[in-house]
Amino acid sequence: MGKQHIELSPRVLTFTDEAGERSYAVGQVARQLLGLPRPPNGILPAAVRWIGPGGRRWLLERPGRRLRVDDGTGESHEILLPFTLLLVDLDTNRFRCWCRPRQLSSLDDEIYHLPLPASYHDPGVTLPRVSADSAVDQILNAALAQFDSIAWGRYAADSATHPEALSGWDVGPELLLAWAALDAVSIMEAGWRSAGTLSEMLAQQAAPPATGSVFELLEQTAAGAAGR
Amino acid sequence: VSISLWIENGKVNFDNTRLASRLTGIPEPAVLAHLAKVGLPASGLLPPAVRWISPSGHQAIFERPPQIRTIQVTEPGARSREFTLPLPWTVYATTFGDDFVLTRLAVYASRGPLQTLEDSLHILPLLNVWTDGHFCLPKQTANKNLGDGLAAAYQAVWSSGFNFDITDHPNIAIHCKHPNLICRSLSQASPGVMDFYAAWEQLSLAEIVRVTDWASVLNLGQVINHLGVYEEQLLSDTGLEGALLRAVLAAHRSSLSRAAS
Repeated sequence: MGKQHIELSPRVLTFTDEAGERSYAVGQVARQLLGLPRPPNGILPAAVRWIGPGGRRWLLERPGRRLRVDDGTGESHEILLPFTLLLVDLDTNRFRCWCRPRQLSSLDDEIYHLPLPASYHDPGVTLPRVSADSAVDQILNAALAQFDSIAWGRYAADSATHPEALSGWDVGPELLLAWAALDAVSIMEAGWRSAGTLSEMLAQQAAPPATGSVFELLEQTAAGAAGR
Repeated sequence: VSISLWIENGKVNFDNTRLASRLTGIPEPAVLAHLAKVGLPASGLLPPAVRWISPSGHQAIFERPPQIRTIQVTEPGARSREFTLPLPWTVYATTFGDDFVLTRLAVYASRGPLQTLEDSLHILPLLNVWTDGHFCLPKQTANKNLGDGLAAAYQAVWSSGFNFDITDHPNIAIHCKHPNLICRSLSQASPGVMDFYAAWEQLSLAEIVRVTDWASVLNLGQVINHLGVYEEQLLSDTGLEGALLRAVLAAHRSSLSRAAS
């Protein structure tokens, strides 16, 4: 292997081979290769409850509240939500969401499915409003806003994720009508379907550790960034 | 900050002389393993309302809504007294060392949840607070992660008891007659710190939330910049990790400057 060169400055990583034929200056490459945090954050939303290694995944928790949601047919319904959790992945620009009847007290707490279409659970909800280079606080705020604008009733939901209190309703708009009729006590005791513990979910979603050559990794990530 | 490195025959070379003396010749896999550790460690479960975190993950600012806390104050040569104080929104600026041992802590009052870097913060007129706003900490122990460290920081302020080792801020408040809502009921010719807390205790939570004339004021951006001095010390290790983290810190400061302008 010939002599190759990496130059790292705060936001840019430049890669040049011995002949100077290839050169990349891609901020994303620097972060992916070196595990650097995203561009620094301003004031974080008060919902932050966990930050993953390298600052690449952020867990947000919001208390129970009323939310007006779109049923996909042009109608909207005000439903009561329990505590909601969003796990935002800065590398994929997606988030996944769960709920809990009460505030998190431990990473070993059980988390529960929200009755959303399967496409919202895996691989999760995309964050189209932010660029990959946005600051962390902007991305997190975009995730919170994106959650609030989900068209809950647009598709038939996966009934395996329905809480017991809504188990008879498979189709989105009807599910929302039934949900809108539940009071606060019923919401907290709705028989939410377990998705396992939070720590299990965080472990499942963890990115694999980097392996291989520094330069192989650099080339792969640079090619990936160029293709986006 | 900029560093250059290249690899020849599976060994890493650096053009930075300080790094070169320590790191040149290290096998490539070892560098990869080292780089994998750069950046924020996992935080553990954080308390609600962490509003800022530093690039190293060893400094954080969190806030708490208005609440009533009972504090114990011990005056030299006298018995301890308890005061049940209504507190406004409070903001805590923390710095942790190795093993998340709490090394610095400042506590401020604010008028509401933090919203911008220009938000005013006020040094609370508490005992045991240095003139720069930092709290004189009792001996601290290691914490498992940032989440546990922040819980320890909160306990350090409100559960460890206050004494008269440092009396600057209550005395400044008494001298300047701020907040007026507390000081106007100090009828003695030379009121003391205990009189000040006794007057504070008479206020309701609703009244303390409306106080705007705390004696000492700065803003959130200044607090974060102040933390940056200690962040640099945290990152002063001469390893590759330290150099990379310093690069991140420089980007962070640049971003703060842009935000401020």
